[in-house]
Amino acid sequence: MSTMDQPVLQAQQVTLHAGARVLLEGLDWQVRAGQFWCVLGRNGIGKSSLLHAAAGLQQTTAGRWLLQGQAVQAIPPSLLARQRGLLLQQQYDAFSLPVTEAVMAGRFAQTSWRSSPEERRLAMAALEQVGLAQLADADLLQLSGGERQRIAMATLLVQDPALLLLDEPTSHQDIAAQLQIMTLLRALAAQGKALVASCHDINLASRFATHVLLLGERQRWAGAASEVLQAAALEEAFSCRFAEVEVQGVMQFMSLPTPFQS
Amino acid sequence: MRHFLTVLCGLLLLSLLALAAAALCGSTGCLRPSASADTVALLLSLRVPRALTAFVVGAALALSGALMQVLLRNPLADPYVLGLSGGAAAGALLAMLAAVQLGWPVQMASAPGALVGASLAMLLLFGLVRQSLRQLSVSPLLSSQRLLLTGVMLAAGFGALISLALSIAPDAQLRGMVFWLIGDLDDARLLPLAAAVLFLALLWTLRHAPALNLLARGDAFAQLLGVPVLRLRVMSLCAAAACTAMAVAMAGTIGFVGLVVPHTLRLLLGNEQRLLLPAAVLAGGAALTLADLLARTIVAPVQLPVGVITALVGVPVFLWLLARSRT
Repeated sequence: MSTMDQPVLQAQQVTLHAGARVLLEGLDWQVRAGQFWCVLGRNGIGKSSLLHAAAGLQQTTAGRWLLQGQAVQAIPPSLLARQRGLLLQQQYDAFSLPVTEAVMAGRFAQTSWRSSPEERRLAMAALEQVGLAQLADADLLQLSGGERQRIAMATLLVQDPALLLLDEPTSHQDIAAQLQIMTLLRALAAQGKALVASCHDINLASRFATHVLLLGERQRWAGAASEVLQAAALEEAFSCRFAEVEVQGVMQFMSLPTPFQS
Repeated sequence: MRHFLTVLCGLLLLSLLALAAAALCGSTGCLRPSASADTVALLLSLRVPRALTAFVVGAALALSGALMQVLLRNPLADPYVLGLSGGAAAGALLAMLAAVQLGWPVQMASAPGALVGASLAMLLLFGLVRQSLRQLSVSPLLSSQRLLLTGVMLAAGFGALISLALSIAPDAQLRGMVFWLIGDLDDARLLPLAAAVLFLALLWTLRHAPALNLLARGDAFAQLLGVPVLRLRVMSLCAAAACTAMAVAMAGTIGFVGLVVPHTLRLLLGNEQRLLLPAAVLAGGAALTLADLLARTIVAPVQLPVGVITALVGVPVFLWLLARSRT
């Protein structure tokens, strides 16, 4: 099999638990270079666990994850850091730190003990991409939650792995920043990266993702965004009703309250 | 990086000045050029080992404290928080009691007793938190909680042992035991061993300083960027424990150096471990050397316990820095 055909990320019969609760059972799934997957589903369905397990942070109960054909658990941390990166849902910054240095941390696996001007340049470029270049000299602890999340995104860009996993990249962002981030992610996919982002906004997913993995209680849907995102599947997965509206050639979904039972 | 060198050279100079002052001055005043060669030789042979002991103990405590604060992500963490010093002190006091019973010289018993006690405390701690050391947690706040709580409980247990040893000790020994607990720097026998341990610990932490930078920002964060977190955590605990054990075995439990020095440097220099760790070694050494010099000279010929000076000076200086940094 040539490297072109090989999926960047592959789940083989993966089962995930959170405590005693089964989250996912027997998941077979492939992510290829150039694809931008959005993972949709209700709270607690296993979106974060899926990303953590794929990144090798969390043990899978059964089955295995392959990165470029190699078992994730068998790859040493420093090599793993070049192949996959994960944007965590929450940023915990306990100590104060200049923003540029916080972003340069993404180069840990690629650099020696001394930091180089090249790293600083990369960090500045990444801050530019997430729209925070003006904060380069600020202190990490003085930023807002949304800004810190975008700093973490810049760190991931500087890390530059082949597979980018993002746990709710738009969750703390205002509308403009959400669009900016999703546009950036789509552009990265076009450059040949593989991306998987968990997401709560069906309409952003519909507009920007190339593929969607929709997790429901009894069923899973995986495939091209336009095929998976149908009112019927969404209603089954989220147990609420949707109205479909086409806006600028893209299907958008309005959630509707279930009518009162009289 | 140039900024690193400037700071470290400044601290090195400060350390050398502190050592020189501690070697030249003492409870009988400072050496004058007019003093006879015999007096000079005698005073230097007493003061130089003591100054070096103070330096090594202070450096080891500050390095250990800086490591603990990174590992536990807790501003209150110091070298003693995990019960190592309690273990060492309980070991030393029980060894002193045993020596009295067996008629051995008490001076010989305290250091080996402290080393054995610290090792036992460390084994106990690792045994108890084995499970949680193997797990990665996404929230950095959770990861250290178990370790911290276990350590605090161990420390409480050793505290009870110390009280027990003090309450059953014969009156003749009590004063010596209490002074050992407060900490004194008379005994330089362990100096070469402690210096070697400190040097190795410093080399190791310097090499891994970039990884420790990431570890300070969270277990999961560090692991994702390529740090072998589990191994690094166990190794830094070992390095910190070895430094603490040596310091306590040499000088008893001298407080505040391990807490205040790393925090002061963090407030002044920031959180870059590549700079902070070597700076903590130099500043901790210099601080304890100067504190000991004060303890010996301030009400000479009476010598105060050095722990009293570190607390009396350290607390207001630290509070002032903390108040200043808020603005």
